[in-house]
Amino acid sequence: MKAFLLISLLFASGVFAQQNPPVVALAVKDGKPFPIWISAASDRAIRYTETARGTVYREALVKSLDGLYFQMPVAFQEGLELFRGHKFEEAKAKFTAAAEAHRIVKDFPGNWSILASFYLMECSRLLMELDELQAQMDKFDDETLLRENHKKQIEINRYWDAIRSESWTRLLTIAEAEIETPLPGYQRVQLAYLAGLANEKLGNTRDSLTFYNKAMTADFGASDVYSIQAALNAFSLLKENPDVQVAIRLFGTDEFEEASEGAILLEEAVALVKVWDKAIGVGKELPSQFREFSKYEIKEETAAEGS
Amino acid sequence: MTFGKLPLALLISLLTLGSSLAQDVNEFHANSMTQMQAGQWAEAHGTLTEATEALDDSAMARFGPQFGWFWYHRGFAAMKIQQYEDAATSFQICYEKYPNQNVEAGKGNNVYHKLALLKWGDALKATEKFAEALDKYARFLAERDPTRDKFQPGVFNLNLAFCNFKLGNIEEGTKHFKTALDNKREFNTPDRGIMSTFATLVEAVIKAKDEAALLNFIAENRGVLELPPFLGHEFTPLLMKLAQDAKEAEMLKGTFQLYSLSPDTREVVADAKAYLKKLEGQPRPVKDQGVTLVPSEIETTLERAQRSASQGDVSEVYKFLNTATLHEEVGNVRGAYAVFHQLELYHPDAHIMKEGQLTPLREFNLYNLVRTSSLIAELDSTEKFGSRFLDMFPGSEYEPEVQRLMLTSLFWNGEYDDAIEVATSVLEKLGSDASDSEQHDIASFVLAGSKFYIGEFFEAAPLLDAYLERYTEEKTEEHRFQAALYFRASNLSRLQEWTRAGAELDAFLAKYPEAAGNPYLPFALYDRANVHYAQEEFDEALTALERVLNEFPGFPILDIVYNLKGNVQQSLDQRTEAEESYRSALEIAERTNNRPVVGESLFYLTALIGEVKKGVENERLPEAAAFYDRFWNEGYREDSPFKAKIAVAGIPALQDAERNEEALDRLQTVIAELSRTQGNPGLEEAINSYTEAYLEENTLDQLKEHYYNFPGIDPADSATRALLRIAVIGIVEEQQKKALAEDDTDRASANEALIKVLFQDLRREFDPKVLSNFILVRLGDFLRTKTSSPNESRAFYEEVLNREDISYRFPALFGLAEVLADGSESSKKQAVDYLQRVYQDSEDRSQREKALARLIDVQSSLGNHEQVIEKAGVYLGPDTNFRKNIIPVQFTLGESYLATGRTEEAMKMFGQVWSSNLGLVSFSAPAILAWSDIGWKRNQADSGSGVSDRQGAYDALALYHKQLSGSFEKMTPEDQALFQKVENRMNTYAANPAVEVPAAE
Repeated sequence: MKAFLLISLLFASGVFAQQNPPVVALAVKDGKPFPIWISAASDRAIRYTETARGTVYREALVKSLDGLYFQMPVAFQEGLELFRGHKFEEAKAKFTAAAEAHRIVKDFPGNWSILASFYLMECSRLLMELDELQAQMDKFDDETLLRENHKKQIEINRYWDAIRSESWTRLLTIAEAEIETPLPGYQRVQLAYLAGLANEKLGNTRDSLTFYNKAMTADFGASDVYSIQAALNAFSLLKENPDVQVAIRLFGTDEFEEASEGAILLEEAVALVKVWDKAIGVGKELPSQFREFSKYEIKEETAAEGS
Repeated sequence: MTFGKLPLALLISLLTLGSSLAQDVNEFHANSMTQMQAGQWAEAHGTLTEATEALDDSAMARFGPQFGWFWYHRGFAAMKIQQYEDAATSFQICYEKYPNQNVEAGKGNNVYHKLALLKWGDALKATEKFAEALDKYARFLAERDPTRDKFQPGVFNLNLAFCNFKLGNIEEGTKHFKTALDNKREFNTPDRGIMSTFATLVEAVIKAKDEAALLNFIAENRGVLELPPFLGHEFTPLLMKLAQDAKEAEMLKGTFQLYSLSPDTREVVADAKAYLKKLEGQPRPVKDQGVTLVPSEIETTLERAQRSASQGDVSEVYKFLNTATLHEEVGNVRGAYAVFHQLELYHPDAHIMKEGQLTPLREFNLYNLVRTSSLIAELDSTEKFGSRFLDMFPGSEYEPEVQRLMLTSLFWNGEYDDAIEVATSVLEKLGSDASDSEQHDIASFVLAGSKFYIGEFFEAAPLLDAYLERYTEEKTEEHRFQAALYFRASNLSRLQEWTRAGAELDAFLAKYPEAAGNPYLPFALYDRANVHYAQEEFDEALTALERVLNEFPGFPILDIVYNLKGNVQQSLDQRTEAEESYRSALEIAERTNNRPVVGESLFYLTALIGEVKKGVENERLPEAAAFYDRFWNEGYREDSPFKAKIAVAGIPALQDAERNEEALDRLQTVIAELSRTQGNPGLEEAINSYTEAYLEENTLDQLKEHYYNFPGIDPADSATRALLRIAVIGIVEEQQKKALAEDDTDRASANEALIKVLFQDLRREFDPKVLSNFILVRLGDFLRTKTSSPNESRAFYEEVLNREDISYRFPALFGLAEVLADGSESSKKQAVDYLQRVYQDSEDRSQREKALARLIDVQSSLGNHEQVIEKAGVYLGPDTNFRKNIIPVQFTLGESYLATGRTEEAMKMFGQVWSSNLGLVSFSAPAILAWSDIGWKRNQADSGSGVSDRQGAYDALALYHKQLSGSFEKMTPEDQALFQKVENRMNTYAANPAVEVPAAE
């Protein structure tokens, strides 16, 4: 009776979010599971029916239940499949729908709405829509995220914002420190890519190349958006390097010095073309300006003659 | 499965049979049902086999098609216990023997007739009869009653795909696989079935070498193939195996795509924990979007993932290792390095299964991290992880290699301080037992070479000697031997041991004359030119420099080469050519932004163009001033060792431009700056020039006052204050010379007293340790030449010689030799060594001449007459062109000839001395005495000039006496005594009857 009064008060105070269609969940009370259709909820109480089209509304304090499992919205599942299939643009619509479908339970730990919003940001990040990502970040509250990895991603999303502001030194400092910590591969890729980019912008060619190589290898191609972009950035860096340009000019002449900085980096570019062909460049053509690096491979016979 | 109830038709028909048979059938049926419901498949299969064997012969007649129930369920149970052949036969009999044709009244239908086709297909698939299986599946689809013969389309399509893949029909299989995947939720296609079918697809594409099919399939279906981490973890071993198969088939893109489908272990843990949290309180498995969430299974997954992570045996380790292999195989060592670095960062406890055992991997990983880092010159990593490796794995099989990598990597990449630290540590650890091991070889080489490169030439010298003695050409790698040979030769040149350096450089150049295979050739040529220059072998220096310029157009220090060329040309008084060389150096240095060399070139040009010779007007002084201004205005002064020199060299040009005050102010600032610089390079020269310029408008007293309170000099800066004092002494010395020349004895003695006081002050007020080499030598020289205790000078010379600063080394050696030469025989011998060194290696020609003359003198006092004859021959020969000490050298040579019985040569030499230098009584008198004595004793009737030896001796003495007797009063007492000896000898000879004395005029 007391609980009922409290819930009524909660409803009366307008704390409850309401929605149609209802959120499907599996509640457990006294050890017995039963499906419910939630039409309104706060973080402490729910209003529900016990059939899909029921008209008898019941109310319950969440703490009075032994368990409450929210069924995954179909839109979320579809969004996730699209996301895993790297169809980020299409996934966004599904995640938007999923976030809305479970909006009324967004205050519950691990709810699908917050998770959908999280993946919506992931889509923006992977599409390199950094303005949009930042706008989504501004509205995002990570309190109900269950996975520490996801909370970490929210932090990393802030580092991406450093690209917009071109705060390269700050980005480098953060990325280099963060990448030393144990993280899953898809986050290591991001930090390696960011450190590579910051180093590139700061003119640290070799460090930049090393971090781009880390980005290419950190999660074995699963984050192909970044591994491919890291490889392309590395190619550009090598192509524009003055020492490499000198080595290209001298290649095939007596003045070509295999031990020179330019020649060493040129051969690194040649090797990178092979890495692209063998592992990285899935579904994407290597631009011809980079494929040209293959022309400068030092053949073993040449090396033997030269030595 | 519908084995729970026997079809109604069968029950009715059974009831109509004879009682015993009905009893048997009912019993078989009931028992098998019970067993199947209890999951007792082997027992059920036994019961059903018994039933079919007992009843089948007459079953169709007795029971009609409904008896097919027994065959169908026998097949079903056989499938459960993996007796696929029996299953296939059972389904076949169910289908072929019990069709629903002409069913008699009261005898029920075989409701499993068409389904048996489907299951027959399954059994054939299980027995790997894929074509037959596909036939049965096709017949099932064609014959089934859609309203009754239900099946799972997801599983069915997976089976079609599976069989097609097994038969190599990739396209057809893919079509069915996609149907199953595209409709995963609707068909409830099971994950395990998906993964096993996917494995078959991978096998098929590997067999067909059709990587593109795999890549396309993954690209199109990644969303379904990539499972949520907590579900995907189960399939990681399968995906890893498939990836390995793809790798072995050289489908590397496929390999990595397969890797990308297996979840990161950290994600599995996070995902499993999150799902368990969501499922809290749920008493039963929860079905959600086609997935059955079983908390106990998720817990098992979590435990497995956590256990793998804690053991370090996670899929990421294998993936990383294969990634590293790929990158290194194609030559991208940086990629391999990136992988090994990540392994060390994220999987320090990495293990792999090797021969059924969990094997730790860190030693291997760290070693590879060190190896790859050294290959790409990531030196910080090489050192950091190399040190970590050596700490963690002492005695490892990789230990020597890690040490070698650390050392060679640090050394060849120019990290000499770190290289020295590591090499020293390695040598300490190795101790003396490890002699001639490769580790010892490399560590010794790196230590010596690093000392050379960081300019610790004194320390490098014995190390290089020891290295080359121990590791001869046969005992080490050729590149190390070659490098060490060059380092030693070049090191000697840095120590200004010019003669040895020249010989060693020549030997090096002779041994490795070709550029191919000798990376040090241009450097050795440059060093050789430098040695030639120091030894005033200017033509040879130019030849070597021309070789560098012509044969090595890409030599990285061409600007420095041009500057040296300019120096040589300037020494040859080829001023135009020298200017051209300096301008070339300037142009190259500016282009390559080599600022120190720009500053150096600007100095040379200022000094060359701005030089003023007495009585010669220099119209180019404004040009010199322009170079001077560039040096100061364009920021080349910072840290330039030439700022003092250019401040001095620019004085005439600035004075010409009436910028005298500016020149002095700048020089004063430079003096103050240099006083705060380690080693005070150029300070002495700056002070001297400043003094000269200052005195043009000020008096000695003003100078003294000014120097005792020089602006900008720290009172605690003893070295600079001492230099300023010395400058004052120098001025007083100059004035004393002038006074002596002008016979102003009062002024001369006053000056001498002042000099004495100033030197004594200097000696009393300043600790030798803080004094510059220049001052120490000046003090030493003063004590040696101007006091009655020359031995006290030794401490000052020795202080210079004990320092690594090699400035004033030769004056110190000479001064010390002078002191030693007046000592015991062993001291004299030491003096010989020092003088020899000065003569051979000093760049100062007058110093070399002085040293050689003194050397001859000391050798003579030691009775080493052959040495005297040899060295005097050098001194008097045409190559040296020495002049200053000809008379004493000739005299000493004469003495040595005499001592060695070569009287003719002796007589000739003494004759040259006295006849050419009559006025120099100190030489001419002893010479004529010796000369006449030889002739007298030889006593030949005709000396060759028409008179006898004795007459000739007398005549010469008489002539000498006659020539000099008029100057007797002006002679010093010493000379008068010598002259007296000549006169006595003349009179003695005159008294001899063999001599005819002419009548007095």
